[in-house]
Amino acid sequence: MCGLAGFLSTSVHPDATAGVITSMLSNIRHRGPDEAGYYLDDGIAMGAVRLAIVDPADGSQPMSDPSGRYWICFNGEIYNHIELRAELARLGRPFRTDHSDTEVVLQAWIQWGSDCFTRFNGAFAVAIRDALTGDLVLARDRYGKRPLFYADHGDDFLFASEMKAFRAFPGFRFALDPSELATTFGVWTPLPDRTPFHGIRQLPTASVLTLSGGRRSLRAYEDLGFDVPAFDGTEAEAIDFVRDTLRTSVEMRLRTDVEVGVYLSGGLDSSIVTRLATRLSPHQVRTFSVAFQDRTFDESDSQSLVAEHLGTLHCTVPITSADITDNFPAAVYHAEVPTFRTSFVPMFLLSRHVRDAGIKTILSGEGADEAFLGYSLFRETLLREQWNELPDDERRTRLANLHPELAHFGPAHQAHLLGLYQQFSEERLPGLFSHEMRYQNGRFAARLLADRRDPFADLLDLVAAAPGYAGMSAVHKAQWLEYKTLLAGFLLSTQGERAALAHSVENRCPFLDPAVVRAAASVNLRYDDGQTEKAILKKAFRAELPEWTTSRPKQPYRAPGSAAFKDSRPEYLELLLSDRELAKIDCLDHTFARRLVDKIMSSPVEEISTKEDQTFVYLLTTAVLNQQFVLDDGSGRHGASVPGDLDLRVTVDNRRAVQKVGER
Amino acid sequence: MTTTDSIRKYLEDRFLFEFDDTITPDTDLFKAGVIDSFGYVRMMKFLESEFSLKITSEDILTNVFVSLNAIDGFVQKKISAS
Repeated sequence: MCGLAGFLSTSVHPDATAGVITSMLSNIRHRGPDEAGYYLDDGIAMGAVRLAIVDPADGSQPMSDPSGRYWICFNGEIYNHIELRAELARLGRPFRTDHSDTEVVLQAWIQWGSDCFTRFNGAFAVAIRDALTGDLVLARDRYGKRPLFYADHGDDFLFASEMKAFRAFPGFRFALDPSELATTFGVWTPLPDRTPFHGIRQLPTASVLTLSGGRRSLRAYEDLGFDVPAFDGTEAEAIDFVRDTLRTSVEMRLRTDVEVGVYLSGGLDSSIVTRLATRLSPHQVRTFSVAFQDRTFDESDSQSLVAEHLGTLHCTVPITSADITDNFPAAVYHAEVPTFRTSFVPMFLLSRHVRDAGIKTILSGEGADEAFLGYSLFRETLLREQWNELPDDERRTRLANLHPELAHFGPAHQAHLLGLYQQFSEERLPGLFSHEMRYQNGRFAARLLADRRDPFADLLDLVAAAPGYAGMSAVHKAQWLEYKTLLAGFLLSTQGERAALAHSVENRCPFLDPAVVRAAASVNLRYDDGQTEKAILKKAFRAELPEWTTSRPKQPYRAPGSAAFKDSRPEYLELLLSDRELAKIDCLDHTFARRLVDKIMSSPVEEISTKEDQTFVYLLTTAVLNQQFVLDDGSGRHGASVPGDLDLRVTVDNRRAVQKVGER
Repeated sequence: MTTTDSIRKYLEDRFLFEFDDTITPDTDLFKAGVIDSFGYVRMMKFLESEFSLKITSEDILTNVFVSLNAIDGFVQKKISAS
C-alpha cells in the first residue's frame, strides 16, 4: 500500500523537477509515511510514498529491473505474488529481492506486457516507465480498490493516487466542473473515468493507459467477471464451493509481514471475514467497529455478540454527531469528491484509531452485497420487472417480503407503496431500469446546479457503449451499475480506501477476489430465488456464526446526516448559511440552494426527506471542497483548512535517477 | 383556495420548486426530479387527509399520479363521486 505521483513535462525546468515531485509526494504522504522516493529522467518525474507491508527491507520504490530500463511506482498489494514469482522465476526472470510484490509486478510486466494485469489477484495502481522507449504505462485493478488520477496541464501530463498531489504542480488550478457535478449528484458518484474537477480524469477500473511517442491509448483489460455459467452441482456442493473460495481469499489476504485486523460491522459479511480470519490467522485477531451514540445507526450489540462468539480482541470506537461534524472537513479533504452521506467520516475516525492501535492492514466485508446480490435494490428490480405480469395478491406478498416494516404501518402504507412500485414498473431511462427509483433523489440534487443538465446523459452513453450490457438481465445490469458506480466511486474509495489511507491503513476486501466474484455469480444463477438475500452465503457460515447474524434483516451502514449539522452548527456551516459564502460556488442555482438550506435548518428532522438530506450533504461537501481546492485562500476559515506541505529531506541515493526522501 | 390551488401549493412547498415553463402542470414530476419515493408516499397521505379521500389499491393501480393535472383530475373525480 502506498501512493504514487508523477508528471511528463516540458514546462518544468530540470532544476525544479525534484522540488515539484517532492511537493506532490508530500501532499499524499499520509498514504505512505514509511519511506518515499522518486525517479527522474528526461521530461519525466515519478515517485512513491510507501507504507511498508510486504518486504519492508527490500521493497523500496521506485524500483527498476536489473538492466535499469524499466522503472515502477506501485500502490497496492498482489496477493498471489508468491505464485507469480515462482512462475516468473521458472521463465528465467531475474529477481533481486526475496519477496517484494512490487518486483513481481515489474517482472510480470516485462514478461507478459499488459496481459500481466489479468494475472494479478490484488488491489493495485501502477506506473511503469520504459526508459529506452520513453513509454509510460498506468494501470488499475479490476474493481477500483486503488485510485489513479491524471490530468493534462498545457502540454504536461500529471498523474497521482490522489488529486491533491496536483496542487503542488506549478500553475495547476482546480475548478469544479458543473456537468460532472450534475452526474455525481445524479448517480451518487462520479462516473468511472471522471472526477468533479475540470480536466482531471480517473483511470477506469480494469484499465491500462499507455502514453507512447505523443500518442495515448486507453483500454480495458478485463470485464467484471460475473458473466459465468451457472454452478453445476448440488446445493451442498455450492455451499462448499463458496466457503472454500472465500477461505482461500482470506488466506491470501493474510499474507503480510505485519499484523492484520478486521473491520467488524456486525453484519453478515464482516462476520464471515472475521470468522475466517480467526481460523487462519497465527494470532488472536483484533476487530474494530464504530458505535454510534445515536441508536438509530448503532450496531454495537451485534458487533459485541460476534466478537465474543469468535473470540476476537474487540475494540469499539464511540462516534457522536459532534465527532462527525468536527472531523467532516478533514474527511472531505481526503475524500476529494462531493458525497451524499456522512458515513465516510466515522470510517475516517475508525482508521485513525486502528493506526493508533499499531495496525497497518485491515480486512473488510466490502463487495459481498454486490457479488451475492445482498442489496434490496436487486430484489426490487426483479419485482418491478415482473410487476405487470403478477396478480395483485402476489404483488402484495412480494412487496411485504421486500419491506417487512409494512406490517407496522397498516394497509394504507402498503397501498401507497403499491402506488410507488406501479410508477416504476416501466423503464424511463434506457438501460437504467433497476436504478430509476434511486435516481429520483439524484434528479433532485442536480437542481443545485444553475445549468440544468441531464444528470444521466453520460451514464446513458456509458451503458449504451458497454460491451454486453444491453443483453444482460435487469438484475445483472443492476449489479454492473453497482460495481461501476457506488462500489468503486464511494464504498471502496471515499468510505474505504481514502478514509483508511488518510491514516496510513491498508484495507483488503476478500469478497473482491475475482474467484469469489465468479463463484458468487455462478451460484446466484443456480440458487438465487429472487426473494432471499445471500441465501447460499448464509447457509455456508450459519453453523459458525451467532444465529442472529444470519437470520436478521440486513441493516445498511449509515451515519447521522443533516441533523448532525443542525444540532452542532459547526463554524464552517457558514459556507452555506451566508449568501456571500454560497455565492463563491459559482455553478450553483443559488436560489434553490438557499431554499434547501433554509428548509433543512428550519424543519424538524422527521420532516426532512432522504433526498433533501442527501442533497444537503452534497451541497456541504461541495462547499468544503470548493474552499479547500478551488478558492484555497489559505485562510483556514471555517475549520476547513487543509494540511500544509510536509517538510521533506532529500538525500541523493543514486546519481542517475533514484533519490530517497525522508522526513526531517 | 380551489382544490387545484391547494394541491399546487402543497407540491411547491413540499418539493421546493415552482410550476413554470419548465415544470408545467403536465410534467411527470418523478422524471423532473421533483418527487421521490418518500415524497410520493407523503403526497398520497396528504391527499387523503386534505380532501377526506380513501385512495384504494384499485385507484393506485389504475391511475398515474405523476403530474399536477393527473393528481388534480383524480382528486376532483373522487370528490364528485363521493
